[in-house]
Amino acid sequence: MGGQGALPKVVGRSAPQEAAAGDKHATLPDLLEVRDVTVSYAGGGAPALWRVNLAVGRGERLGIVGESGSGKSTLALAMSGLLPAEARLEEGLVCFEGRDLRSFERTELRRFRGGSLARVPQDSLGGLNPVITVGRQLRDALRAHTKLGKEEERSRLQASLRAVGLSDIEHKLRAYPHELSGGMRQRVLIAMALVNEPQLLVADEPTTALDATIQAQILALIRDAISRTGMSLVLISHDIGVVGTVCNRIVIMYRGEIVEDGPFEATYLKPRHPYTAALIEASQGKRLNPTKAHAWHETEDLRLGSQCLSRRPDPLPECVACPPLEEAGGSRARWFGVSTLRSATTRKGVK
Amino acid sequence: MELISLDGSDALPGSTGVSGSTRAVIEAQHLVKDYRLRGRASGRRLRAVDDVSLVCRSGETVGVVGESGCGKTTLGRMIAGLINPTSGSVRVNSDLPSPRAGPRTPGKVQIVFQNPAESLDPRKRIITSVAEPLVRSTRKIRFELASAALGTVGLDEKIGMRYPHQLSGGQQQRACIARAIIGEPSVIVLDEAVSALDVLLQRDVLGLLLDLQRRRRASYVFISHDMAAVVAVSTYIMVMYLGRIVEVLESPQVARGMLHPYSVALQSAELLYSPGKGPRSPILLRGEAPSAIDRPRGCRFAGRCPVAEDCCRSEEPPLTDHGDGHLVACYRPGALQWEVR
Repeated sequence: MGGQGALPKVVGRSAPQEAAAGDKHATLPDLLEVRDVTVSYAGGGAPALWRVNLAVGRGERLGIVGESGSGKSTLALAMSGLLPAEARLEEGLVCFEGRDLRSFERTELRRFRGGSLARVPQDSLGGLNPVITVGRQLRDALRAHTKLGKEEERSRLQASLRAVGLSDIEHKLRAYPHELSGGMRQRVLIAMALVNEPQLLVADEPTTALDATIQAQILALIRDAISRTGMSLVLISHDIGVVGTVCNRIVIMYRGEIVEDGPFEATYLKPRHPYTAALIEASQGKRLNPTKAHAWHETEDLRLGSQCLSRRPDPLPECVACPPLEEAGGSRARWFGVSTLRSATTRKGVK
Repeated sequence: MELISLDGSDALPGSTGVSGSTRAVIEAQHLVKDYRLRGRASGRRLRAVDDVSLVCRSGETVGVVGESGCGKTTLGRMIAGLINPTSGSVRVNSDLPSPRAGPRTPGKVQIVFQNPAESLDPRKRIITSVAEPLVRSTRKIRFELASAALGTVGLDEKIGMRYPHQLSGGQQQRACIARAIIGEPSVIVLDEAVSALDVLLQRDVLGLLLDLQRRRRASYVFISHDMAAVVAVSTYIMVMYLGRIVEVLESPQVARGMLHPYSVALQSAELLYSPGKGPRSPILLRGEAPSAIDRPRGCRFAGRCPVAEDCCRSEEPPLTDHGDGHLVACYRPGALQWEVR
């Protein structure tokens, strides 16, 4: 893996590496593991995450798909050890290279965030400081993890911006965030995330705010960066198509739980959970038939009232025997056959 | 597809309609909108919409697709009468000038905005907001009509008594649609009306809109950045780039392939993954759309176009018919190919 080869250059790398070596596990543990995690936000309501188990292997490109409120962003924050103050990790633990994030010392945590794990946020304007130049922010990100001479540092900054396809680098380094377009800012954020050669990149809806043609450019950029460095990727998106361009594995989240998890291609062609099937169908942009419109009317109610998850107190007849997350052939799903729910939808629509 | 000639020379995008009806509900001619700039660029003008004409007949949906800054929202607002064009005119049901309704009549044109949470008054009950266009009716009639409109969009009276924050995003957008249809307008402008909703909900609301159209024969102007959504609902599709229409075609023609390089690139950028074929490589365009203030000479798209030639950079291509009313503003239509499926 390219990222491994580059390790000695980066000072911040050593601590987690040693920790991993000292771990009880004989085999190398997964890069990042989320074990039985439940997270709730202050103010009550259903937990944002409910007993989520997920492991990200080395070199794996994982896409997490779900709609708003499905907990995908909370999961990304939990993975990065960045849960906000109002969120509480009620149960479970998040391990990086086999070590619980909570056991990290303050300095270790600083080296972990931005060093071993880097994030690309959705909002490129909010992700940058508006009163500091792009160059200075990029330099700060680099200096926090790597000590270099002035000249070397300068060339590294320029190289990082060039690598994300920006031209007129000197001008870009002196620019303030508002002087750049949304696409350029997103490129800067990706450069900032990659400048310390992380082992894991967590990108939370990195292209949602961008136009389709710019989104295509940014996705190509992320794909190239991944194949160049061999790092792992967690890509959060509401769009299955976006995940399909970059990821080799997909996780579908629904109301704080994982409903399906498997290799992308296999899952796309043969979804085992009805929710996955509905998402895939919606992503294919088929022409709507006005006479069939009624069949869709109940989708929202189906969503809001869906009882297919274990913790719901008042399940639909179809979902009484809500299946656990079952593993088979390299995939996991709460499997109860796509046809069951499809017919439930039509029945409700006819009523 | 029949083209209407305005002054003998211009082809006006529009179709006779799948519905068979030929009455033009919206006739927009040579719409131009300039914005004067302030601050450092003071005194200069930004041409947001540059000579756009369209015709929409009863029961039809015109889809306008383009990326941010292409002028699609400005176009929608001019059609809705919310802003006045710098030049050109909009007729709704043959009435000139702008369709802006007087303070006491519900407009013939209604608009549904992108963000449903922000377009409902947070301090009013849903039913009060929905009844708002009916200023002239009595309280009792307004309440009855509002209840009926809510029923049409699948919301019950109980929800009508709630406040916006107590509704889900999809319910809020349905309430906005109820408000738009209550005065029985002949035109509804849908400006990114489903973009803020989750994907499954988008299909739901689009289905509802199509169903309403079938029953009430309203005309829609469907504005979106999402090519797939536009193709899914529109009778004909107009692709906009930097203030100008670059391609007009009927929905069934999409399957035969778009001709303008920008339309093709936009389509490829959205269909990222297709079953059995794995990840698709979209056509990557160079850079970003130029500013509408310093528009390049010649074709607006030439700077990013993978197939541009010298002639594209010197003169702007006119919108010309390439058969069956498929209009394209390009010197090399069809030069850029991308297999849709």
